Amino acid sequence: MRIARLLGTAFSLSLRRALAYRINLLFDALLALVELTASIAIIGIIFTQTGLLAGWSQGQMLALIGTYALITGLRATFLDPSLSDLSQQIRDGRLDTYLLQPATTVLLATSTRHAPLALVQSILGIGVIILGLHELAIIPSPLAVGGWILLTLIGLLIGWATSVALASLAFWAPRLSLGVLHSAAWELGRYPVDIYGRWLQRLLTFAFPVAAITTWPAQTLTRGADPSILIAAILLGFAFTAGTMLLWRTGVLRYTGATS
Amino acid sequence: MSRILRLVRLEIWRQVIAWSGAWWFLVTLIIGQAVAPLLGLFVWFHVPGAGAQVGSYYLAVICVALMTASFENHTFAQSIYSGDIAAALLRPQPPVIGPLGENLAIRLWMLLLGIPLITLVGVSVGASFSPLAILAAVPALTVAAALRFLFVWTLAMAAFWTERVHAVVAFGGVLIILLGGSAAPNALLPDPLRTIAQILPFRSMLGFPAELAAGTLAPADAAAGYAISAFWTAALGCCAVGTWRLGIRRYTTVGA
Amino acid sequence: MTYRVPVRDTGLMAAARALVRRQYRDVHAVQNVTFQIATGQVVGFLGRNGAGKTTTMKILAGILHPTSGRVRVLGQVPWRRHNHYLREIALIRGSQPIGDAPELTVLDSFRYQQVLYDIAESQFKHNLAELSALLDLDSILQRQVRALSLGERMRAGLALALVYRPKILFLDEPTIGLDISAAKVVRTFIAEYSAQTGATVLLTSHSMADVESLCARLILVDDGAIAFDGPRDELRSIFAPTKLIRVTVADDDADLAGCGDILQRDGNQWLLRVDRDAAPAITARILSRFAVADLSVEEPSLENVMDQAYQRLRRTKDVTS
Repeated sequence: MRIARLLGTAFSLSLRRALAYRINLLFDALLALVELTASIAIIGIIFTQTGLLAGWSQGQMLALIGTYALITGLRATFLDPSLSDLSQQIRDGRLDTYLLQPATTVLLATSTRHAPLALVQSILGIGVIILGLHELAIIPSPLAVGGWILLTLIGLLIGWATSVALASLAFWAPRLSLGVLHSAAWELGRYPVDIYGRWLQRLLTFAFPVAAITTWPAQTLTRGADPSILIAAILLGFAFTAGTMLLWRTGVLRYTGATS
Repeated sequence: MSRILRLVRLEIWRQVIAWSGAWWFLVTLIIGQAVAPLLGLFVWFHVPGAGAQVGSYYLAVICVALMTASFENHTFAQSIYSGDIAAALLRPQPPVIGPLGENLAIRLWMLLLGIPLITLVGVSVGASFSPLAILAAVPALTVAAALRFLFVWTLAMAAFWTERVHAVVAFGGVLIILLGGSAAPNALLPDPLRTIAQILPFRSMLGFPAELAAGTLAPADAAAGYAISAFWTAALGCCAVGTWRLGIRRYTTVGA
Repeated sequence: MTYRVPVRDTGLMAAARALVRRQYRDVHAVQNVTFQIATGQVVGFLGRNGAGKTTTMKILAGILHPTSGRVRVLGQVPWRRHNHYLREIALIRGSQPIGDAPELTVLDSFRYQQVLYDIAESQFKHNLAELSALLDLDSILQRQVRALSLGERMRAGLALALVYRPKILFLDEPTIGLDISAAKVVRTFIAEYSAQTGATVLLTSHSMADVESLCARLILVDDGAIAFDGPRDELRSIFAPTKLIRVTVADDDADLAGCGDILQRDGNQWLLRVDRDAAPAITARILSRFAVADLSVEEPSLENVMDQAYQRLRRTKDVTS
């Protein structure tokens, strides 16, 4: 409960910070709009040449792109500002400050700085999802919507866990920064995993579950909830979170044992 | 002229050394450049009408992307923000040499470190190129390298006026991906868009050399492409010089 | 506290070898440091650069855990970092008084502290008002952190760390970089806070003005071990067992050479160094033998004392190693 209040306060403070720069607000909103328009345009271009892309129709692809924008926006808002220099903080000792604050260190260090303007992307993403559903001429069942919300949240959780896990490696290898790798892999979520080759598809389901981040939510929303997918996503979310927490704990133990 | 060339060569050498310690970072840059063409490759492999040469085309796009990548929004714009550019202004040499040398050094490293990736993609898609086509593409590649540098450098000069240079350059990047041949080969674009993309400079920065290398262009289209590339090189060159003059005037009157 | 650091010989071959098989050497950052501090004491924690001050302080705060030994602060094991422990302590660094978010106003940061440390609204207002008065914060509460001067930043940083009323303060170089009057404000405030709330303070500083005005007890660490622990004046008598006698004599030809080491002579003004114990006798002798216009007996400055202490520690270290 206190954690929720803490994150709420952090968000409201970040919002105040962001509003101090009105020009930036304009730029960020414009860029989000342009990027999303470009992704929609690319979908449009692809479907002038084909009716189905690896089994996905244009409307379903729009729902997927929308989900991708939504989840990327949420990530950019609540996680990226902290995660982007987490390994830097581990390296230069700024993590000390969080260690001495009376709340869960991993949450303080990875989720207390926010970029509220990035929410624009999420809002636009919801618009694209609605556009996709309109194109498909379907109204998803409450079960499908519920499953989609759950899967989106799990996707966000997995995004957080994988980022934190990669940043935690800085506890052992200070100069290694895999953040760019993570964002490159994240980009693969723009398309359903079905378009990638078989071995890559497996990699993107279990090793770096892009499948769980965008493919499964969009699939659930447009084709209805599939219990096996829901269970797989919950298990993956659980496994990744547990693994990351373990890695983080071991890392902090090392950090507190060996910095000067 | 020979002094300028010597200075450029020295600057490239200096930057090659300076970047040699950052190989890990360079690898991440390579991956960043390769992601968009790779996505295009995966997508168009699933489209039956895309043609047999789509694999070779995207392999060429990746190579062009690595050899033309420009990061002036990080290197050059940063020197404006940090004030380091003041020192560069005091040197008795054309100020473009610094950014140019660093640009070419980074591209050299990216190509070198990107060879494993290029080989992997080449083997997986079974790419094939005819020597003649590659020969035809080399001049276009050189022009693309110049164009991309001029384009990004000019955008990066926005740093003289605004702090949001990353957004400005990202905006340019979106255009290159969408219209330059990364999202889709030019021939697969729907009609009005295809013509627009042919006239704008972005195809000349990325897709045009790749199309030549993959051998998908008729001789007349190739000639038209070269003409458009030459026009845009001159235009963006003038743009870069003009923006530089305006920017420097602003920097030296307002900046400290 | 032991670190493992990679070592290798110089030269290319050695570098290549180190790639394959790394050799390590154990470095003891802090060894055999034993001390106790009673509630409410203000203790100066001194030592040369690299002596182990910051490491010890980080262990006490809970950022580092010792490889061996026993540490208890407020009856707790610091490195477990239980929330109720963290609420009782504050670590303040002069080098980085306020954390990130320079665009926020000072008051915004206070509000965040309030949520973070769970301070009730009435208590928060009361504490804030008190701190504002002591540190003269009214004019800076509404300003952005990035617009503050270093002195203002330090004042704000102190207030932010103390708004939750910690019982223990770890102060790492609290006045570093501050101008004289800003440093004085900080010192006065620390003294007042500790007197008012009974907080225990452990302070490291290279500024002897800090130490002189705040710390009655000093702990001197050197090479990861304690070299001295006791009252400030005792440190003087151990490491600087001398006093200075400044004399102005009426007679230009007077010769004070036999009275002590002559540090300085300027006409009929003399500066002598004498043994601490012999000072009264020598003073009496000078007064009886010469026509004295002016005479004063001075303690060597703390700065001098520390300098001599560090030099002596270095010498003994050179002898033993």
